[in-house]
Amino acid sequence: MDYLGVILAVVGAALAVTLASVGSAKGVGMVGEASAPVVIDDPSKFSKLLILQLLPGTQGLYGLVVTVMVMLNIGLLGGNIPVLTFRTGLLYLFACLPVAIGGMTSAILQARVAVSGVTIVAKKYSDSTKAIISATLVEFYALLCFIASLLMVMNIGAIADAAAAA
Amino acid sequence: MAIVPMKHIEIVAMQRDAKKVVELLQREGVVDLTEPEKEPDPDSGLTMIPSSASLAQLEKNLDMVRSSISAIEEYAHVKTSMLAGLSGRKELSLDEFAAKAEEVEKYLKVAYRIDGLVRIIDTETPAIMHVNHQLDHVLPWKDLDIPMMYEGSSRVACLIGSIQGAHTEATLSKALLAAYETSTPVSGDGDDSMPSFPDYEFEIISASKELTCLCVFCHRNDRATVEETLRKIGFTVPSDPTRHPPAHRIARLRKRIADAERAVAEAKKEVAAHQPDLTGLQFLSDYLLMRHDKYEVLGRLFFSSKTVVMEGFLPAEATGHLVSKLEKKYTVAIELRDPAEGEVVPGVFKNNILVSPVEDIVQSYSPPTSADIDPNPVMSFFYYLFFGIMLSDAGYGLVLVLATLFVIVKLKPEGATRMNMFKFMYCGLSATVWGLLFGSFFGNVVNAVGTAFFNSDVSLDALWFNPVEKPMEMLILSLLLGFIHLMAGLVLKFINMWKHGDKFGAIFDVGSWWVVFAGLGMLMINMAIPTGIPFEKYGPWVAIAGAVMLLLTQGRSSPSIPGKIMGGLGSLYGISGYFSDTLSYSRLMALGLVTGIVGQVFNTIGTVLGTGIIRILIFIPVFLFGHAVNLGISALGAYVHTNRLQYVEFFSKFYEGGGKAFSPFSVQTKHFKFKEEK
Repeated sequence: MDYLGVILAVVGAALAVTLASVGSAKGVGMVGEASAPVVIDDPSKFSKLLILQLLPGTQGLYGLVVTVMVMLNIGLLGGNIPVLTFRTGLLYLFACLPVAIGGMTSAILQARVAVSGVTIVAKKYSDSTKAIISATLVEFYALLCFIASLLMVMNIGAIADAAAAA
Repeated sequence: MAIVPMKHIEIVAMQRDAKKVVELLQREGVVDLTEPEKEPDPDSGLTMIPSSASLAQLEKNLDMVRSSISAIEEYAHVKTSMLAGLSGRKELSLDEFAAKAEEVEKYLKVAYRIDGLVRIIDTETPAIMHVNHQLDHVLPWKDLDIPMMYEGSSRVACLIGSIQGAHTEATLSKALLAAYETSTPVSGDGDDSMPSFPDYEFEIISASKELTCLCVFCHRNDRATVEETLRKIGFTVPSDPTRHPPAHRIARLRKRIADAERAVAEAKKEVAAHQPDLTGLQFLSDYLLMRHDKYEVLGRLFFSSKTVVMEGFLPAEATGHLVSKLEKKYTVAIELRDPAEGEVVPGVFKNNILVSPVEDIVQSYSPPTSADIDPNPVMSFFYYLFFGIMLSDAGYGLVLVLATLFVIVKLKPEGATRMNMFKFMYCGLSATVWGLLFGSFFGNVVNAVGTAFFNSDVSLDALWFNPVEKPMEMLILSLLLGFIHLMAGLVLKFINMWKHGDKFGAIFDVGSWWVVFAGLGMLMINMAIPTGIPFEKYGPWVAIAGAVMLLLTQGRSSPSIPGKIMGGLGSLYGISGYFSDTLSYSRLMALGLVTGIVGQVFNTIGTVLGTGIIRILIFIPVFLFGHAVNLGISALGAYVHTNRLQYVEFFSKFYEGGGKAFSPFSVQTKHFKFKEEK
């Protein structure tokens, strides 16, 4: 049972990068499928389409950053398995959820906007910047989740220390 | 540093000079010719001279020349580097231009020749496939030494055909007999009246998994029985039997393939041999393109019996030069005037080289109208600033600066490409500065390498603070910069309204908000810097004063009293807009952290495996690949999010746009540019 705390924290860290990456992979895939026919017709549009395709890819990175921050904070990167209380572990697990769930769903929803944007790039190339901007509007909510997760993870360590001292 | 004032120009020239005048306008490239909305009034005596026939011919030639250029590049294996698209056009003096223009006919002939060769390649290549297909059909019969059409002698019938699947003589005889027995009814009385299967002889010509080709002999009288039984086991006669022994046709088809292949190879060789003509053809394509554009313009001009009329807009500063040039050379009447109220005037910015690289960003949002203020000088500062914070790595910044410098100096790009290079160079400089302030150089590579290889804990310390360690500070910095950005937008709005005479609006629409923010600021100032002055006591009253100003003035455009009240209340709701706009700048922190931490992750992966020399061998590729990926993704993120902050948060405060982009009639060549006589 000594390891229950650290197990919970690692579950959280794993969820953060996994769910966010699942969303990103699905999203990047969707936009890629939609852009391929446009590239066949006009390969010069590839660069704009690539930007659209990569947009839903960032959520996976946000997930990875939170995962790394959890690992750094609990000392898992040192090579030893640290000991955490059950409470601290659970705190880490919940702190990871915003970026995991928000990242996954926002990547897929963002990809849907980007897929529509592919049509703009195909039919009205001069307005393709607008397609990119409207896809970034969705990204903001992934960013909010990421910031929330990050701030929680960064501060749990301090809380746990204070609790231990008390 | 502003939106360039435009003039409307109307030029009336003699009809005989029409082409020359249009050419001059094209080379000067400063006039955005207005496209007529409708055909001229027939009573006015003006007509349009259609140029569609010449245009169609020019388009055809242009296509031909372009396809011959790509054919030469393909068959002569001309290597085009990936950077070629960035480099500028070669410059030609007027004399060189004239010399090359002499040779246009010659190169047009070359293009015709190459076009013919390409056509040979295009028709013969599928023909080879087709003949190969025919060959596949006849090849299984190659050992048959009689014609496939042979039907036998007066006594003997010969049946030539094939059966699906692989067969041997034994399996075939068995199958034949079985098929014969099941199909022939056994008579009721059980005697052996059933005729036995006639005698036959056969030879298997070839047998493969798919097909067995055979030749069956029998007595002419038994032919019907044998053929019917053969059909039952799937025997078919060839659809295209040979008149001579198959070897004959095989030889003929092989010769046809060899001939076609030789023709294609020769055509390709000849196309490749035209490689020295590439420059001439490139010039020709530019030349035809210029003529094409010229005829397009000529086709939409209004002609009277003796004169031609053209009108358009041009920057006021360019008028003197153009007018003097036109008047010196041709008999023209020129009328210049300021744009009329309500006229759609193309909008173009003019700024110094620090600012102009971001003009494209504004143009692609929406071209300005005369009612707008030039957002570029203010925007460019924040653009580079925000890009830098989001990339925030000195290493990546340096890579960007060096790469763009290389392109600018070596490849001499032009137009939009050149501006983009400058833009990313400034962005890279900004990222370098922020990277040093935040202590990030290829992530934490100094520390990682020091620990892994030199056993020292050397590290590049942040000149200011490390956002990974102090994310709250980073968040506050981001929001603060964002708020300043928004306020800069309001300042521009204030200036613009004031300049356009709406001083009342400037004070109340913008000033009121400043009063509100000043009040809110007073509430918070002592939390950040204890001043000792009890600002928080007065803060609420200042904020309320601002709110009252808004309440009283923001409904003023509404005609009714309830409308005025609702307008005032509605504007107060705008405070939530400012709140969410400010929060939106938290992306500065988030993207900056992502760059830094992903960089660190790659450094960690690169330094944990192996020891000594092996560790170095693992580290180098991981470092190069990892940071290339991170730089790519982070720069892309920084770029799109910087744009978004300008478009959504900043422009919404003051910039209207909705104008028409300035696209002057000019020389739009791809390979060469022309030095203009002074």
